Amino acid sequence: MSGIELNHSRPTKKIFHRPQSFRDIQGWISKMNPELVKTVIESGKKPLCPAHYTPTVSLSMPETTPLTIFYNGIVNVYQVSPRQAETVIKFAYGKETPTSPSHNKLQTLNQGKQDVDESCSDLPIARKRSLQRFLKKRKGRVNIGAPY
Amino acid sequence: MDDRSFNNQRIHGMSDVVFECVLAYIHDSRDRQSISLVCRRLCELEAQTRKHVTIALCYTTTPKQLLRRFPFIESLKLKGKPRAAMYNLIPEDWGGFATPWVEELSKSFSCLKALHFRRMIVKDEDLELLARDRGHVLQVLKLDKCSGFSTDGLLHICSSCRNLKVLFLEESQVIEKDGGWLHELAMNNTQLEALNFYMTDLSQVSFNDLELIAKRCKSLVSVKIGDCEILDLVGFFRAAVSLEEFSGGCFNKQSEEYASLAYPPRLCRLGLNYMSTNEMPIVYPFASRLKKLDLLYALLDTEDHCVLLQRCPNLEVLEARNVIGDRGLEVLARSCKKMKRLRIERGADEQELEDEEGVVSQRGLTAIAQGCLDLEYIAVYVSDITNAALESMGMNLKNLCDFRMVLLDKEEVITDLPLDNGIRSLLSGCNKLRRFALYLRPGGLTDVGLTYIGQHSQNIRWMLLGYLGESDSGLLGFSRGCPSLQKLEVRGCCFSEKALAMAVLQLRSLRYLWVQGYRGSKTGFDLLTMARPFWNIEIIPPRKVNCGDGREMEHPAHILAYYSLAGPRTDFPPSVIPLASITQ
Repeated sequence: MSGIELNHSRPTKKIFHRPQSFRDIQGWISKMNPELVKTVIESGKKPLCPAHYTPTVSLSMPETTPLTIFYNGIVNVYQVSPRQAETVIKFAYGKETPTSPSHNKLQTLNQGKQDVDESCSDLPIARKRSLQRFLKKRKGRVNIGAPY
Repeated sequence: MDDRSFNNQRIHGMSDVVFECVLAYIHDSRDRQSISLVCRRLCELEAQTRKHVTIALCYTTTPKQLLRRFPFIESLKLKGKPRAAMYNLIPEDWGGFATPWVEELSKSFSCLKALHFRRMIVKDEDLELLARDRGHVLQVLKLDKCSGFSTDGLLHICSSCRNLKVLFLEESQVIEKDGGWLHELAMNNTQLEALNFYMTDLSQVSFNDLELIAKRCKSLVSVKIGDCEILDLVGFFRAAVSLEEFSGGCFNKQSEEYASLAYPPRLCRLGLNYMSTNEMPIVYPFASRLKKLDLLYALLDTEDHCVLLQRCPNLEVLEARNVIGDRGLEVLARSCKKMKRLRIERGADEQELEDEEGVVSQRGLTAIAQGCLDLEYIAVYVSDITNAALESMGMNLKNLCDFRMVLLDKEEVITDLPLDNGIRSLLSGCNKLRRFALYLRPGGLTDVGLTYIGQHSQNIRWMLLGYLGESDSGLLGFSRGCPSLQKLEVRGCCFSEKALAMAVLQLRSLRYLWVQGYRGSKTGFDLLTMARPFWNIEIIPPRKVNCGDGREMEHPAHILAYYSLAGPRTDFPPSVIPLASITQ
């Protein structure tokens, strides 16, 4: 059987729920053999963390879960974020890669090397609050025609 | 090491009384720390005689721990939010709550007279409790860049704290309900020496109350207020005969009306908010007396700065925007030989709003380096820079303790980058440096330059690195040095999590790290390389922030890590995520 099957075999701790993006994914899961889904989920219930520490939250975030692709008799498993999964699905459908804004309250910390590098070097020089306040007030004075 | 001494017996042949007398003369906290390590008895004696404690981050210890260690302190300074909060980078609800501290301080610290909260969240209930339980003894209250309280809380303080000498609210975000608090202060207090509500939005205060305070408080030395028309303060100025420092107010009327304004006779520290060219002459009669001048919020152009500064030969402290220009700095270097502290802030980006001469570059810095040899502190936003200017500073400014430079991003091409050699010269020449901040751009400093910083910063305790280095090896080279570095802030440097974690482990004095903008690992677990006992690691995840003018800005993640005796925080807001320490 060919076609893309989405396999959420090892759920990480889902702290932040993102229903809208999961709609498509859940649609696919519902078409899979429920027994198969159940088996896979059960087998995935192993702790991810080494015994000597328990981070309160995984930095990889709930976003990265395995995406299993059955295609032409070959099975491949990829660790992807829901956004990436969405991209893959839409691409498979023949749609363009979406540039949809994320609806997450919390975005992936590690969005991919390029994104992070850009966000690293793209930080504007922050302005001190006190100066910002003054410059705004001064603009207001100029606008109301105060002598200056 | 073990002295086996009993109470009031002898330590190394000398009675306790000797040490008690000697300890009274030792004020430096580092010296006292050394003394407390000698033996148990000296540790106890030192603890009993310690007068002041500064807790650099309120989450590093608990009120009860402070009480056990230093029960008799008279003065406490507590800091909450990371310094980046002053630049709107930290979520408002991040933390730094004063409540648990106020509860313990009010109950148990019987000697406490002075309290300073900086970048903390203080509630009206906290102020009410403080006023009720400590009102009779409180002499100094500083709510410095704090938030969470209103004028109701201030009313409690001003009604109950009749011995208050210092009330400091600068830059706090206060919810204003009325001006009653100042009226209470005017009615109840005759001891006030310093009153500061500068850069708050408190506008419902009455200048009549200010005048009354000036009349009744003979020791009033420093007053910094919000926006209040200067002409309304004529009576206040006449009454405040001891006044040495004044900032605030504004000049809204026609210039001629200010001609007869008389400032108090001892005034030597002045902030001229919203003063423009035409009003400047009112300062001339006493400009030669001025030791400190704050022109950050003045409406002067480059020429005005030149004219004014030429008349201030005794100036020691100057704060101005970069509208002062290279020409203004040249005048300063020629005329103000006693300069100790110079701060040049960034003005408006839009050209129309600032003088086109209003840029600072290597020209101005070189002039300062050669002219103001007593300089101890310099913070400057430059539009251009050269290695030679930095070398000149290293050669001449031997008293420099604090150096901060930000390279603005307006100009595409900078005359002389990278700054590796200049920075090395600066650091090796200015060997008294304790604080250092360098904020450049990609290409501004190579990995070699970053390693130089590590190698030549023997005494530096605090550093801010912005857009420095090229790769992880620069950071690792840096972290092999910096033997005294206690607090490190890193922004926009794109180091990997792993390198950051390894750097932390190498920096032997490091107790606090703040990072914004870094290369995350695939799993995010690389940060845990620095996991160790008593080391708290927190993340502020990426978020979208409303800029206020309809735009939304993407803020990348922050890492905050620090040593703590208190374990992880118990009051995390949704915007902050902890990585539990491995001792938990």
